[in-house]
Amino acid sequence: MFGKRGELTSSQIIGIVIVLAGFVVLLLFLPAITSIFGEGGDSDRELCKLSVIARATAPNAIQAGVPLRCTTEKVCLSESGKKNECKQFAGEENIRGVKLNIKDPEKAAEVIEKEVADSMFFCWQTMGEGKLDLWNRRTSLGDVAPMCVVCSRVAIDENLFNDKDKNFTDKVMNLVDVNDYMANKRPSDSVPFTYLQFFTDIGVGVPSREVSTEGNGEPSDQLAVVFGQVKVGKLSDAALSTAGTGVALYVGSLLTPAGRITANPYVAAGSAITILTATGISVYKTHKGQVLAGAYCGDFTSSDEKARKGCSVVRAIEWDAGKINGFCSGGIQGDL
Amino acid sequence: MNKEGTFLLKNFIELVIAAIGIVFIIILGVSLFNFYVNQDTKNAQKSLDSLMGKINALEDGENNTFLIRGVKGWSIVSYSKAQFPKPDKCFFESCVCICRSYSLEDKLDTFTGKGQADLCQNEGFCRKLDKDEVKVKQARICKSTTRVAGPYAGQVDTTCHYKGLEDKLNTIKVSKEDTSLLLEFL
Repeated sequence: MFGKRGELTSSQIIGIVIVLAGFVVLLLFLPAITSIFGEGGDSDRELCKLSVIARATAPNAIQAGVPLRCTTEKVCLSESGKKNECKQFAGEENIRGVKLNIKDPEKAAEVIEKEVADSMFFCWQTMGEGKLDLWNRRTSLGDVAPMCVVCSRVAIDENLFNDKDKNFTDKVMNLVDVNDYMANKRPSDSVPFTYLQFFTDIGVGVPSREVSTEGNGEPSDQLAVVFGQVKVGKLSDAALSTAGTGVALYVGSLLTPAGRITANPYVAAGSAITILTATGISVYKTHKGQVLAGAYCGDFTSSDEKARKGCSVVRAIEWDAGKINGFCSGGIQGDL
Repeated sequence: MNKEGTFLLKNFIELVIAAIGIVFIIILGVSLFNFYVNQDTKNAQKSLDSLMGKINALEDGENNTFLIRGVKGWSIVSYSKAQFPKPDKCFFESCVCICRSYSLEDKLDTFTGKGQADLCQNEGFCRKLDKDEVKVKQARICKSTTRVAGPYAGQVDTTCHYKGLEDKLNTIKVSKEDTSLLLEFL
């Protein structure tokens, strides 16, 4: 193969150079290739997850420069299951259509519950289960303003609500109970725990039913599953450290009117309270006063030697500018 | 290299590793530079394309309310068919643009609107629309100054600029008619 003295022949050099050049080209166009072979779904999630890990492990100085390649998935629930049935997504891309058989209200309600629960599950999983340190924008108080990624938007075809003959709200929407679904169902048969257990410690049972003061009594036709993270400054370090390592939390203790949240030892700083009690939290059962989220408060895994503390939340919020902006006061990242 | 100056395998591998390292550093540098420098511009373009998707999806006579992501320091600006001045890139058509908002400090020709049109031409993105009239209703910030000397002493000059978008979700109502389009920030 090589000459007597180990020299390379010109054809060998050319071969190696071509292989290397191919490798570099592949690296350069990897995101484009990924998007060609799989639009939406798993490939987008994997790309997002990779970028999340890349950012969390990047040195502090360049962390903000590592882009989050997370694209909001749009889920359109309609009778036909076609992805262009939801006017809410008109002119948008990355839509997935899901069929609702409204002749079987219980089944239809379960499909809605599963889509919301899965969206939250995948969002939480993709974003590192809230334990990764993703951004670093400080407020005047020294806290980091809550920043978000909108993982998915779940919409129901407006025509279903408008068609009075179908009585969709009464027949189907009133059966939707995402909290209950998450407490009792598993993401898939191969997963040994329920959605709720995934967001909390395995020992946690059915979440308590908290009554929210939010909601105008009408079911919403679109909600966003949003991941938010806030880091807290020195003021709250003591409060946070009382709990030692990170603890996962779920709906009941967090998603309550502001009065209850102060009982939580993790939450002492303004920004943390903002992210955990942001107004307008709602799921499809807003009109019944139910709210939904999974959260983690504690130390983040970071390239920074001194681990940072804060809270991460994945939450279903009505797709409303005031509510989303209120929750994500530090800004929204990723592609909407 | 050996005494005779022959290029050995070891030398070659070292060279290749060095080259890969340099290429990697250059790619990383360029990516970071692009991210920092162009992120707002990219987001602005995406916001405009998203808005155009919503506009195109509406039929004449329909209206709907949407959320678009804003980019701080940028504004949505419209130019009707008969309106002048407007960015050259709109030619003689109506268009909707997203452009860097000018501030009072820009000292541009705000009276004629040429300043904003220039900004849209040079630092903005425009999409043509097949409508005679396109309007954007949004908040403006105005500043009045009174001339204290010269032949026009006492005259009040008012200059205005669009408040512009915020770096968050903005609610926009789109009303599409046969010959006109109205964009209203709520």
